Amino acid sequence: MLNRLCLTILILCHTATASYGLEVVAVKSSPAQPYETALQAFSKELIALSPGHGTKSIQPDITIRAISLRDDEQPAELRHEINKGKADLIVALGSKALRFAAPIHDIPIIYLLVPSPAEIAGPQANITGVLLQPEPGAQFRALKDIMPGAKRVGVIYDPAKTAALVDQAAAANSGTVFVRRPARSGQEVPDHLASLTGEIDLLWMLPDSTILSPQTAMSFYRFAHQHQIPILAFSEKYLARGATFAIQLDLEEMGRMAALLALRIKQGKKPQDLPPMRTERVTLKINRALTDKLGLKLQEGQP
Amino acid sequence: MILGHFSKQIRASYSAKLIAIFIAALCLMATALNITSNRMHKSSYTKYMQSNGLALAQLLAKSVQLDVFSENLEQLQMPAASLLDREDILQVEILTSKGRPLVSLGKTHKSNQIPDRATLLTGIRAQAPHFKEWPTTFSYWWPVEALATTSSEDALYFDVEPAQADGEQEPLGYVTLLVSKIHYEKDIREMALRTGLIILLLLVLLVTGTLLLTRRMTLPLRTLIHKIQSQRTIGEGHDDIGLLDTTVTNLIKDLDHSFETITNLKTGLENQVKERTRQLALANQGLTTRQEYLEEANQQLEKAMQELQETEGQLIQSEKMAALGQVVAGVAHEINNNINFISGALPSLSRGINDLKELTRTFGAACLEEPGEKQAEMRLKALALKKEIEQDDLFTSLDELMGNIREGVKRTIRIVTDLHTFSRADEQGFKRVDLHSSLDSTLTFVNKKYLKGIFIHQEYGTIPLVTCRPGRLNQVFLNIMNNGIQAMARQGGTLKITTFLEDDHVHIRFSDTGCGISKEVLPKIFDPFFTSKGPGAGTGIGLAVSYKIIQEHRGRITVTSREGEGSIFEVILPVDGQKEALPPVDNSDG
Repeated sequence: MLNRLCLTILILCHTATASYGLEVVAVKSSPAQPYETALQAFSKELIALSPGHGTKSIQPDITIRAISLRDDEQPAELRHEINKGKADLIVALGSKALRFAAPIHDIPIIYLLVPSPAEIAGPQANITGVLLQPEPGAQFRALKDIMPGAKRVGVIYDPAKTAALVDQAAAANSGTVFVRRPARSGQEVPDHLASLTGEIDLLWMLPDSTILSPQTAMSFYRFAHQHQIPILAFSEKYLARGATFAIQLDLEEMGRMAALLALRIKQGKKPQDLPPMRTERVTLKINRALTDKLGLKLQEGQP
Repeated sequence: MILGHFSKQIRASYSAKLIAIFIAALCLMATALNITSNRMHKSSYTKYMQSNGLALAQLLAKSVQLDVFSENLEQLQMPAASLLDREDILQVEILTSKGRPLVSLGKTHKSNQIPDRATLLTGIRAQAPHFKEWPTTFSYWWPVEALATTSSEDALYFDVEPAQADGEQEPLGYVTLLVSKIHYEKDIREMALRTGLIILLLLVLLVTGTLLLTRRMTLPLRTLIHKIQSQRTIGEGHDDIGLLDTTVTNLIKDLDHSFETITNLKTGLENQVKERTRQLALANQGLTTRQEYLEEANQQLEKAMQELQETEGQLIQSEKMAALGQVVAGVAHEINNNINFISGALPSLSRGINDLKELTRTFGAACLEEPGEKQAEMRLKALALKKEIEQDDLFTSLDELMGNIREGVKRTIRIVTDLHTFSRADEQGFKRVDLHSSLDSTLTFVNKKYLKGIFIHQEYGTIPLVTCRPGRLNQVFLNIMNNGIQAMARQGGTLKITTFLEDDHVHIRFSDTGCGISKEVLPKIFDPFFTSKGPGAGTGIGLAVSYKIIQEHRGRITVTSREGEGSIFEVILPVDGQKEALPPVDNSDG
């Protein structure tokens, strides 16, 4: 009889801990398609990972409320609304969304598609997320697989913003020489590019808002065209505009990673115990027309 | 001199005035059109120059965007220099947003009216239009703009903020172009010249067409005016319309006068008509009285004529009856002769037949008797009788008697045939007849009491059958023969009947050697009721009837006579008496 009673208590306890009722507020920086794609992947994966109630249940008790930030909205009022709704989790998609959610400290926050989360939130206990960029060393390893001759990589960067990235890349790729050109403004870019003439095999375009602007991007493309130097960009968006290679950002994969983090937080893990996740797989996209024009000979088995 | 002539012509002609006004209006319209057209062309061309220059400036601004951003002076020189290759571009400047010149290239220009940089910058900073027209140049400027650097790092990765990506622009600097107006003004002048020439040509065509059309349209008016001028004294109007006005006014006056005259004449005429009508009514009344009188007289005449026709009919009937009497007398005479001939033979024939009967009976009885004496006795008796009656002579006599009777019957048959041929009572219509047979049968019935001592000589030629009414012709022939025989009754003579064909006409000529006809009587012999015979000897209409019958046959009857020597009556008939006609009767003396 006692044994039976203990089993019932255990079952009830298990049921109580395994309750998956979850209120998620997804805050998007804008209604742009990349945020929507990542959110869809997040939602789908979260539902897939969450068990249902009983054998007949086909959907867990998960509510995801999506909000797109607008310029005319008052952030404080919106935050009040979110707190009032007693959300279990906030997913911040984009820098603007993270900047909006960061002042909330009593609800776990997962960031997604944020280039520099540390610059926005710093070390905050209720925040974790998925890093946007693959590990820089992995990027160059993937590139070396198809272009082993790229020994000298030119890079112009703002030391205040992206020096760490360059360092990480240099550390991870000992056989590669990184020709560095630190710059304080975009206007220095043309001169730095001119100084790289004949010095490099590849030009690395960094996600540095000081260095990269629509004007300086044109300087990069013109330099590459004049000197037959391929460009490695950090986003596919530059591929059609003049970059030769680009790192493909798998938004759905990032969404799925965020869903995993959300599941763990709901299972009781604290965000500060969950380090930011980052995709390990690196996929390079190639502008075939440009490689042909530049006369590049890529290795067999290239993606 | 020429102007004076034209001025005089215009004053004299209303249509010329209209044409002159129309041509003047055309010239004014052409001038206005030319001015308007030139202004429109200039406006359009100026807009074209504006858009063209602005497009150049915009292109230059876009192409130097990066080099302005980086202030790459070397790169900036190239597009500016290439633009200066164009002949009409005088100056190209690329400035920073503060107005500091990065590139300033220009040509020497004759005019010193190029706006200086300070003036241009004033306009640019005042957000003035990108285009400005100066006395000798056009200036264009366009900002060199760059997309604003986004504050969001997300945009480095994704196109997440379109407003930031394509929207706000920040000026990096300006490009300015100065374009000479020399080519522009030259083009404007050429366009104005071409437009003017086209309008002038159109004006000439319109004026020429108007003149020709007006000349053609006013031709009837001019013809009318010429006619008026040729009939009236020139100068009654100060121009052709005045002349027409005067003429029409005079015509209306003349017309009024004419109407007045006509009214007066009409009034007089009506009075005359009334008087004449009254006179005519009176005359008509008299005529009505006379007409009634004439109608009465006419009725009396018609009645008399009817009576006369009835009398004539009776007389003709009498003549027919007289002729018939003659024929009947002739027929009776002939038949009587034949009957006498036959009746005279009948007693002798009866006697001879009785003798033959006795002889035949006697011989018959003798033949029937038994041979013997009695038979011999009877035979002798018969032989004696035969001798007594002279049997051979009896047979000869019987043949002669039978011949006489046969001849008598034959003659009677001929008479009857001739009578039938003569009368043709049942054949009054036209038919083809042998006239010789008609003449022969008619001769049978001539008046026999005058035939004593008269020799009938028939000399028939070859004639065709004649289409005629034979009964009527026989009446004519009998009449002529009887007249001839009567003329020869006292002294005897010869009646010669001759027939021949001449010119498709059959001639029947009756010549007698009688007393002839006097000249006084000869013209009257065909008149009705005229006779030279004694009372009761003739009706006086025999020849008149004969004349009428021959006329019916479209023939002629002629008479030639000498008193005391005889007469010749000649009947001329067409072969087809139904169709042809001959001239009227020709009565001539000997």
